[in-house]
Order: sequence, then C-alpha cells, then structure tokens
Amino acid sequence: MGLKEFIEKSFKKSPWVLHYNCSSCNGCDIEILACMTPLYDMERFGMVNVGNPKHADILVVTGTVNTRNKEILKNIYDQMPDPKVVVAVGVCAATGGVFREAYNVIGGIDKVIPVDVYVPGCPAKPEAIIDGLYKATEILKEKYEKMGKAEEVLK
Amino acid sequence: MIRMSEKSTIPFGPQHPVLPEPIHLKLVVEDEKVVEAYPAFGFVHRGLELLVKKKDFNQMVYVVDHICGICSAMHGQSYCQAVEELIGVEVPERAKYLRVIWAEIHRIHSHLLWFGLLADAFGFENLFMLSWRIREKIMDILEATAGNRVIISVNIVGGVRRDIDNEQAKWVLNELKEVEESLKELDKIVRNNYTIKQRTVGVGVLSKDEAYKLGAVGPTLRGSGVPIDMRTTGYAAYKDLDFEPIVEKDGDTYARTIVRVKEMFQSIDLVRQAISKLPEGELNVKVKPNLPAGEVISRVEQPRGEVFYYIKSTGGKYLDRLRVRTPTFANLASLLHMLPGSSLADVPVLVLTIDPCISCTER
Amino acid sequence: MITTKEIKLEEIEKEAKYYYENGYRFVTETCLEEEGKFKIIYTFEKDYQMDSFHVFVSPQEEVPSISKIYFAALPVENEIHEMFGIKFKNLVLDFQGLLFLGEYAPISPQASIEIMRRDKGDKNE
Ligand code: SF4
Repeated sequence: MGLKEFIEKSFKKSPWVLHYNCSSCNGCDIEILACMTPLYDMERFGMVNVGNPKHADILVVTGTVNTRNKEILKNIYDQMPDPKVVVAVGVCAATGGVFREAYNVIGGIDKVIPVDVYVPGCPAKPEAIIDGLYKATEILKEKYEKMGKAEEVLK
Repeated sequence: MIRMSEKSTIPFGPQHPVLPEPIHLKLVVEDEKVVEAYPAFGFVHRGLELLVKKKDFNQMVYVVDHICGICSAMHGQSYCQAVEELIGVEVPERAKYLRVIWAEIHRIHSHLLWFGLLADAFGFENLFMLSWRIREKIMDILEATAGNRVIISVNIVGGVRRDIDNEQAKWVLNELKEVEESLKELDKIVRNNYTIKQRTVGVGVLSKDEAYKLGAVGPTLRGSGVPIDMRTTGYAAYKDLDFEPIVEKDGDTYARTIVRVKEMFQSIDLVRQAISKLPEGELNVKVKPNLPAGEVISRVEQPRGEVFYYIKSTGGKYLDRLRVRTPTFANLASLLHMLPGSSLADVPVLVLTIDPCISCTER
Repeated sequence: MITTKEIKLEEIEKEAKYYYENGYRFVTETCLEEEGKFKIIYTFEKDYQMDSFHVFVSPQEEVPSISKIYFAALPVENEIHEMFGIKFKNLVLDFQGLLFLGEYAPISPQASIEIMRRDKGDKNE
C-alpha cells in the first residue's frame, strides 16, 4: 500500500474529536465524557478527545447557542481544517429544547454553523452518541473523497 | 537583561481540556504565582429564571431539572418542596423516602464524577477512568429505577412519578454492595497514594473562620471543619434517618476530597436505611391547578452544597418570581479568595476543589 | 412562608454589620419587582435559622453594596446589577454588567422597569 492510500484509509479510522459545551445543562457533556471511559470506550473507533480545534476533524457540540458563545462557536468551527464534520448532541443542540424560550438563547446550533449529524435525546445516551460519531466518520470519509476529487480537477 | 518578574495576564479557558464546562478566568501572574484572578462567565447563561412567566408551575419542574444535569434530581426536589409548602400539601411518606433514595444515589454519582475530574486535573488519568467505571454502576441503578441515566425527572409537585418495588429495591442493594466494595478500594488509594497527596495536601487552604465568612457551602465548608449540612434540617425523610454531617479539619483540597469520599459511604448507608424503612402508600397527591399567593424559601443539600430556592406567587397558574442561588455561586467567593497566591500549575486543581458547576451558576 | 422586616436604604450597611458581628453567614440577596419598585431581600443564616430584611429601591436610587462586609455578596450584587439594572455603590469588584450577559444579550432582561440602555444599541439577530 502506498503512503497516499494508507493515509486515506487511516483517515476515517482515527478521527480526532473536539468537544465544545455551548450553554448546555451538563447532562450531555457528562454523557460524552462517559463515552470515553472504560464501559463505552469510544477510543476503540480511534477517536481521541483533543483540546485544540486545529487538530480536530469532528466537532461535537452540546447545548444551545446563546448570545455570548455564538462567536466562540463560530470561531472554533472556522479554525478547524477541512474536511470537518459537526455533530449536535442532544435536543438542545438541535432545536433549543427546554431552553428554547429563554431570553438569552438563540436556538439550535444550526443557526450558527452547519450541522451534519443530529443525535436526539435529553440527554442523549452514550450508545446514541457513539452511533452518531460513527455516522460522522462516514460523512468525514465522503467529504474527504470529494475534496480529493476537487483537487484532481484543479490539477 | 529582561526582568522576569513582570506581571502578565494569562487567560484560562473558556474551552479548556480539563473542564467539561466553559469557565473563563483571567489570571494575573508574576513569575509562576497568581496575584489576581478575575472570573468571566456568560457562556452558559440561558435565563431560566424568567421562564416562570412562560411555563406554569407544573411545567417548571422540568425546567429546573435542567438547570444542571449533575444534580438535577435535587433541583427538582427543592423546587417541588417549595411549591408544596406554598400550596400547603403534605407529600405521601413513601414519596419522601423515594426522594431521599434518588437524591443520595445522585450524590454518589456526582462525587464520583468530581473525583474523576480532579484526578484528571492533576494528570492521573488512570484514576479518572477507574472512578468513572465505578460510576457506571450507579448510572445503571438510575436508569433501571428512574428510566434515564442522567436527568431522571422523578419529582413532580405533590410527590414522585415512579416507584421502586421490593424486587428492584433488593437489586439496588445488591448493586450498592458492589459499589461499596469498589469505593473501599478507591478510599485506600486516596489515603495512601503519593501523587494525590502531593497535589492536594496544603493546596487551597481555607480556615474555619474564612470558610464561614465567605459563605462557602457544602464540602468546601465542611472540609474546613464547619458542620453545616442542610439535610440535618430534616426535609423529606431525613428527619427519620440516622446520620451526622461529615467534617474534616484541615481545610485544604485533600480534606475536601476525604469529605466527599466519606459522603459516598454515608449516602450508601442512607439509601440502605431508606429502603429498609420504605413505607407503603401513595406516590403522589393531586394538587389544585391554581397557586395561592405567598413567598417560600426552600433549601436542600446538593452534592456541591446548599441550594436556595425562592419562589413568589400572586395567585394563578404562573409563579411571579423564581430565584435559584446555586452552591457554586456561593462558593465563587471562596474560589476568588483561594486563587491569589497559588502557583499557576495548581489552578486547575483549585478550580475543581470547589466542584464547580457552571451551568448551575449561570442558569 | 417567610417574614422579612423592612429597613431603609441608608441602613443596609449598618444592618449587615450587625449580622456580621453576630456571627451570621451570608446566604443570598434576592431581587424582585413590586409595584413599580425593586425589592431586594437580604438573607442571612445562623444555626440553620434564616433571618431576612428587605429594602425597596426606586429606579433612580443607588444601593450601598455590602460586599465590603460580606465578600460573598460580590457575585450576587453584580448579578442583580446585570439582571435588573440597579446600581450599587462601592462594589469591591465591578463587572460592569458583563458577568453573565454578553455584549449582544438583552439588557437588564429580568426587569420590566427600564434603567439602563446600552449605547451601542445593537441587539442579537
Ligand atoms: S439535551 Fe437535555 S441533557 Fe442535553 S444539554 Fe440539553 S437539556 Fe441538557
């Protein structure tokens, strides 16, 4: 296997995940943390939790967007290199959930950044989160292939 | 030559790998010493207190449950107790005991979670994984008895909405026995491990007097030797159960860790007592759809300390004002007091020593 | 049910000192609106017994801060300033109304009585 194919193959198998907590209630965050711990262990899919947006391939967002973290979320998203996938965990991140009518809440995160995978639940179960992340890796692969084609066309 | 002891400002957070939640601290440091610290919040502020104008008092239970995912059962409990006192209904005895059981199971889960995060904060990842593995057993108990893992929403105004039957109670006791065994191991580690002591003994010291005057609550206060525990006021079924507030004298992070570890054993004991005394009877009583006018304060001991609920109603379906003073909000003053003078490397440990819950604080 | 005694605005500091010297712990301050005025309830505690007093504040008045006496009152008073727009005198640390709310958040969102207006005037969305 050449180096190029090797990189292509391993790309999908080891996405790095960045978790950002918008204004969530913690319920979903601790479930995401629980995914990393021995019982659920998302590292078996090669997913590693990182703290730096420039290292990350998948952005996992929990909670609704409020007026203050709107900018930060956008910032983090912009800093991530292409291809990137966004996973919205919990009903909060999808629509605003229980907080929808509160004055400081703008709504689901899709009002600010494009979302690829929605994971429902309040809080979403670890199984559902892992499933969502797995879907995200497939989308990541698709995006990666598309990007490769675009590069070939440009050549 | 450049003089090295100039002051510089270092931002800590909001997106920090140690913390699951966004907290932002501006630290003014001189060499490696923190001289001043200014917190900045607002990344989680949603404005839940004002939702009382849009949701009626029954629906509000679910909103206060979502103030914080970690101690959600206790938020619901204190809100329900406040409304029940306002209406003047007496909750069935069985519901009171069930509330205690769920609250105490929640406390164990919260303390284990905190313990893991603390271990992670000082770079002991193995211990983080260990304590979260023990925690999964507790989550199983919650899921089996209440139907959800984290936010269980068992409380409603007038009682609880789910029951634990005898069979299940037996199973819970069995599981708790296993949890207790693992906790004993954890206790041994905490008492003997060099790394833990190295990073926590003497860090973030609050004297008895300081803690009291700064208005600290919960383990932060009890770790400094002040025996204040809201459960001794005997709300729900605590008046019939036998326990003493747990205190430690030293007032540092290690003492607080010990308090929390001991509280987990205490919680297991309380669940056992409550299950053995569980009376027969109804789960909830019906309440009238309209509230009388009045003001009520209700206080409940959460894993992080005392929570304060103030409600005011002028009649009708909607409350007039709801105010929540959460434990972390009360402990902020202690944190601001501890940070100056510490070394930069200790900041994550210091932030975690009060067991911060930002989404509580900001609501 | 709770009962609180009413005191005047100027007496707040004196009253808080009294509680401080008698070994009370600061619990919290609660702000609400009543008949076109703000009402702030101060709550203290000793041996599980809560004790409260309240003041009425009209929109133009400044409230003397008790954060010099009880440091724990600092976040609470900043929050009240932010949510209701009430001004506090002599705060130990003033967040200028940016403790919880961002630049683009609604201004004094929990008050229906308007005190503050932000000059920039830009609102969210
Ligand atoms: S979806 Fe539910 S559990 Fe998750 S952050 Fe929102 S309110 Fe909390």
